[in-house]
Amino acid sequence: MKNKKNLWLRIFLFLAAAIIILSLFSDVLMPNDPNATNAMRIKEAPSAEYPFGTDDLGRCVLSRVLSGSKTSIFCALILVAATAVFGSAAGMLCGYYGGAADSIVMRIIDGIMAFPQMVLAIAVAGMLGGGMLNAMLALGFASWTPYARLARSRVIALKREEFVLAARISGCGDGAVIGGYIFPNIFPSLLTYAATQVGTIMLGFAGLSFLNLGVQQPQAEWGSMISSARGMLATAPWAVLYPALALIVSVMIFNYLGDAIRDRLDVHLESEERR
Amino acid sequence: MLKYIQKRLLRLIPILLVITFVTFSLMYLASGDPAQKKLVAQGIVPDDAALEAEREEMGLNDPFIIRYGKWLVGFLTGDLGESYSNGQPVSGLLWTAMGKTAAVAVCALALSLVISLPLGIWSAVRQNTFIDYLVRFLTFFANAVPSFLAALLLIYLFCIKLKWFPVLAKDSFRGLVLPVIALSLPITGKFVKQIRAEILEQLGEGYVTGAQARGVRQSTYMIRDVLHNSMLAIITVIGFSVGSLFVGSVVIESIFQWPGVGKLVMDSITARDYPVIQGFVIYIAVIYVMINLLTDIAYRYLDPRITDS
Repeated sequence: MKNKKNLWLRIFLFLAAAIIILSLFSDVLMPNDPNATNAMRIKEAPSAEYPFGTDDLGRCVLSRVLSGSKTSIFCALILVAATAVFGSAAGMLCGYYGGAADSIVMRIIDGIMAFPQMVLAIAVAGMLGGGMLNAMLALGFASWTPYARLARSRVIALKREEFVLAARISGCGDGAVIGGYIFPNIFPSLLTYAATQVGTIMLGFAGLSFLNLGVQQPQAEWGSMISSARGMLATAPWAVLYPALALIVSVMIFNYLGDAIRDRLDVHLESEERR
Repeated sequence: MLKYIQKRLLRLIPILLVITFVTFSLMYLASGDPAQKKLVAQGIVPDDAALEAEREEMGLNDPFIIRYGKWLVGFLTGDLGESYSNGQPVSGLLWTAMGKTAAVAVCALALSLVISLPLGIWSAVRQNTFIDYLVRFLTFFANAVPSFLAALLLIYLFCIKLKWFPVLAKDSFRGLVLPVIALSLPITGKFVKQIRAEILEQLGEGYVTGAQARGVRQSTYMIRDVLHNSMLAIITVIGFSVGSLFVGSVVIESIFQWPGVGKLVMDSITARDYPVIQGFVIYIAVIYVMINLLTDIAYRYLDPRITDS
């Protein structure tokens, strides 16, 4: 059983690494300039020269899908990493020290979690006025809280454990206790939650871009490509279908990877299914 | 039970305070000079005198905390201010739109349940057979397809290729079909996954083995015991899907031009109509919190073992 789990984990790690590498080398792989318009060759069906066809400005859809992969994938990865680090740090500090600061931070978290994550992100992005950075800020603001809750509850349970008390008695400072004894014990849960979030964040980011609250033209991103091509569904469906396919496949790979990591580490997260 | 509900309602007060505070602060930070925004939204090019008069009238010269207090009192009495663009009361706009959204959302929720209950049960009972693998793959696919893509794919297939439906959802039953399907698809994926997991967990329990050993028919113990015991988890899942329904509505309504809250808020974002955005956020949060509360109450009602601890 364990071997089978490892096999799936390896397969999806490989696939995830493959699309990350693909996006890293997208500049080399692009057959055409993703931003070069060509008025003579608009809405052309897929051909040898333009394998995914062209859009309403005559831009190569394949090149734009490849160029957009960098934005879509890396924005999601950076966001997940940033929210995981920030949320976990806040949660660990609150759980470890407690007190008034803990109560205040927890009330703020309660408040933020009272909103459906994406509704809050749409509202914040809408108020900030769109743009890639604002979309990331909005999604980050809405999605760091589960890490903080998770880390805090685990720290509160752990800090009364004997091995933590023993570490304290033998002279470890707060930093050494948190870093050396508490963090290693909660890391698997945090990693698992973060891994299951990559696909969700990727969809959220594409959703914001689709609503024109994220990446702006002419920069290529899957959500905004789908959004700007949706009017040509009847005349140039490839301009919607290929970025859509790229998005779906990437999200599926990262979702499977998240599940495989969870199965491998055998972590059960209560809060995970909430949103 | 009554005491529990009372306690939970009391605990709602601080949460509601935080929600209103977060919403108001967001607006306060984001909206810059609302007087200018309001005049510009009305198509007036503001000069200094007009701006100053408007600021005084809107109470913008008061300190933050007083403005928050005034706004909170307004919110509690159902007055969320007026839309910058057309001067109509925000709460009226939201209530009208909310009805339209609810029509789509309730249909989508019902459709999701009708599809996911049998599929979830079937794939759990036939664990690790072809059917199970197929259902699991479809579930995973549905979980990776955001509602805006589902909507576009449906439009491509049914409006452009097959020409069965009109693209824009007019206020008609036919116009409702595609938005409902698009909205329910991602939710159905989540439902199937969780129902399957829950049924599998129940099937591993001792009472199922006991029933099988006593020769109880599968259909009997499935309906009488397993389904009954799974109700808790299913109700929770429905409660938690409300957030996805709202988000889906925003996207779906702007694609199909359905006149619900989603379209209203996207139009308001485009028009920088901050009071409407603010009203939307606060309404959604209140509804979300109330539904979570109802879910918890239903949970306790169905499972008396859960106690305060």
